[in-house]
Amino acid sequence: MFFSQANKLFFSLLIVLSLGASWPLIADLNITEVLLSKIEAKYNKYARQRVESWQQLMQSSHDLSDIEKLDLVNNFFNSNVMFINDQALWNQEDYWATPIEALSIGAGDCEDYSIAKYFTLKQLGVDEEKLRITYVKAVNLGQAHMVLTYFKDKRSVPLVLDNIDAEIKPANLRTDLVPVYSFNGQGLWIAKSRGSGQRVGDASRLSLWEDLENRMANNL
Amino acid sequence: MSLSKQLLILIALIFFIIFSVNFVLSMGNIKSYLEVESEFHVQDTATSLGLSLSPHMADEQDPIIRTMMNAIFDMGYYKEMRLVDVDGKDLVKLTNTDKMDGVPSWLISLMPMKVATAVSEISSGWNITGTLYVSTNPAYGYLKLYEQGKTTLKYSLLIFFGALILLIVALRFTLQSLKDIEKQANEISSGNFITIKKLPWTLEVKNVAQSMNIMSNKIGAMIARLNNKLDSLTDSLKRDSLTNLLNEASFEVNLKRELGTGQPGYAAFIKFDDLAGISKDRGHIEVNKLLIDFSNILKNVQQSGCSAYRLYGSEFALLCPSFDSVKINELAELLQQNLTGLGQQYNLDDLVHIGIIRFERSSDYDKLSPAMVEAYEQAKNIGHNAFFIKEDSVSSMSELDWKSTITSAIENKMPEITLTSEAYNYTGDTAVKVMEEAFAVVKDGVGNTLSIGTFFSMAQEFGLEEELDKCIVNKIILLMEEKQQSVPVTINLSMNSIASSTFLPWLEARIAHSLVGHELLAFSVTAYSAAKDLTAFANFSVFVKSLGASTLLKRYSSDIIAIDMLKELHIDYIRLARDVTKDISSDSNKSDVLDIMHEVANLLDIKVIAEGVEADDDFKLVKAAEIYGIGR
Repeated sequence: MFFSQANKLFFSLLIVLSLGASWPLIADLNITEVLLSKIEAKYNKYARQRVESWQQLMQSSHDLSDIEKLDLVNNFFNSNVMFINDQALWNQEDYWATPIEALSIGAGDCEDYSIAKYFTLKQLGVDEEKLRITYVKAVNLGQAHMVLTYFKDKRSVPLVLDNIDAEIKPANLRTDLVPVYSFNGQGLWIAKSRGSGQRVGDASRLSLWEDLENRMANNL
Repeated sequence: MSLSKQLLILIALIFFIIFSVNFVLSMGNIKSYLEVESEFHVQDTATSLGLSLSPHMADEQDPIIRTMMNAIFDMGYYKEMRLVDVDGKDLVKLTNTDKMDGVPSWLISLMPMKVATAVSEISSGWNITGTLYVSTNPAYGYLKLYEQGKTTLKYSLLIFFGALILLIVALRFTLQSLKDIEKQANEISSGNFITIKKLPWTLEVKNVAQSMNIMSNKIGAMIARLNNKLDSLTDSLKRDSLTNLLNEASFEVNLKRELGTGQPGYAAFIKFDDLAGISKDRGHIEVNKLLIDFSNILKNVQQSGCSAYRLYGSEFALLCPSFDSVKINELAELLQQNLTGLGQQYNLDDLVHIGIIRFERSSDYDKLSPAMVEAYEQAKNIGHNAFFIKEDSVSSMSELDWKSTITSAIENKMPEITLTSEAYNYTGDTAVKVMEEAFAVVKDGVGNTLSIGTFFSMAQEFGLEEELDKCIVNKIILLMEEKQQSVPVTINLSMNSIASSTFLPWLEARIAHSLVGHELLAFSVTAYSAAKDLTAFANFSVFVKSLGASTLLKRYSSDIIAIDMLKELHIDYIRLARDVTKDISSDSNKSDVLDIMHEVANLLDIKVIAEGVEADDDFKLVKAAEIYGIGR
């Protein structure tokens, strides 16, 4: 359930943050019957069901309170995605999966949880200013870890959405985690892109989300 | 505007546009690159400084926060750094001027650069404690952009001018062949049928050059063919068809020519006393055989330096220039001996008699013919096939008298000028006068008109021809000024004057001070004179052309100067010898000669004038040939 390398977490964070720059996501995603059929063909019918459930969640939960949305999303991903590290799952040192990939395959690492939760909550209308991706140290495991945090307001103690502890708790109760740094990181997708060798320039300010979108469409 | 200039301007313009667009794009790219780079840089700074400040943000008043920010800010790359607390209140604010020395203000207004600003949120533990704003100082970007622009412009200009130089060289190389073709075309139009030896490598131009070469060769060959045909036609015109000896016209021309040379010599008149009687007795065929045998004897005599002629029917002549009395006696005796032998073959004791006269420079041409007949008559009194040599002078004046007469004529400017021999152009609806000839008349002390041919010949003998020419040219110009002449006038000169280094400057100065249009002056020599020194005449033609005047060759026939030689003489007119057009209506060969001469002269851009076309039938035929001018 943990990263072996800190930079892996960092890049995952950048991706999640970049998701905030693109709206509306679900409309862009356009989970069509064709897409669902592809998912089913490539994985299995359970994969299709998970993605359909996710779609349904995003379509039906818009009117809930922030706290209810946090619970719903946290539980959805914690129960539908099983933790498997990248090396075992993708046979790569660092692979950040799209939410659809994570749901389709039904597995992911802590960055995949954080990305998927951040993205879904934002989609459900939670103010992105209240969401942060936070690097933490998992004290009990002695490993770098990543969680999604929710700030009711800027001076409040954030709530922690984690896949180690499935219950949402205020940060001060999570003594097993030591916060390292949290980023709002607007524009950090540029750094991520640069780090991953992608072209960056005036004409190619393609958000990572757009890229994510393309990947979701192309890889399936 | 020349083709090379048009191409140069066009290609230079295209190059300029390409370089300009490239330069503008390059500047845009540099600007864009610098902006993106500064975004990276400022974000890196905001992120790393945010991380560094994070542990100290628990106490917002901790001076280490400002110290750390100063340390980074004072590197000078930033326009502003601002740290605000979680409520948005400024904790630290550092600002710099964005002015940069050495960067012109027009560049800043022309290519404004975006100020890159990065934001980094700072947390302390689980809580957000502030936000760091970092903005770049665009002055560094402008400086880099300015320097890069200067370098790009410098190299762009260097390449541009380098390309221009290459272009000029390439154009010169490529268009040189066009110049060669132009030169060839000009040469062809002026009658020099040259070819381009080194063919250009540009395919289209090469094809044109090859076509031009073919055309040049064809025209050259055509003129050569016409010339050959003309030669044979002209030769046949000068000869008697039965004996193939030269005819009477040739004799007259050659005798005049010999008189003109000033060398003394002998002329013989040979006549069958009763050819009609022989014909009656022996028949036409026998007589023709006799005449051919007789002409063969005369032809043998030609080996000694004489020329033989059949003047008319039973009359023959010999012209023996540079013979002395001993040599002519030997020749006459040999001739008499051979003729006696011929007579024996035909059983005719008395075939012919030979009258021989001596001529010299001062001899009157008009008196030569009667003198020959007189000598012949005396020979008849001597015996069978006898000859008589008349050594008396046939001159009307002694040489001494001639010299004093000529000197006096020059000193007193006695030659009187009349404009005669009018030639008209008949190609239009009405006849247009196109040429007149200035004719000099000189009288002796008692008022008798002197033979002008002899007069000039004697002037040459005494080395006075240049002075005489100057005197006559001067009087001609004065007359033309007085008459406000509007038609070109042929002015005869001697070859000595033409080749003289003193005459030409005199002529140039005289023409310069003349009120007569230079184009009305057509300086002339006889074709026979010109043939003796073609180079001198060609040089004179070029000289005269440079003055705006023209040149004319008199008494031209293609046997004197081959017609394809005319192009090298740079002449404007040829005036045909009278015998070319005389009896042309009854001689198809002459008609052919005229046509060919006219054709070739057209090709060479030379105007042809026929003189003294007397008979109406001849005139009709010459007119039909549409030559430039006809005199009657």
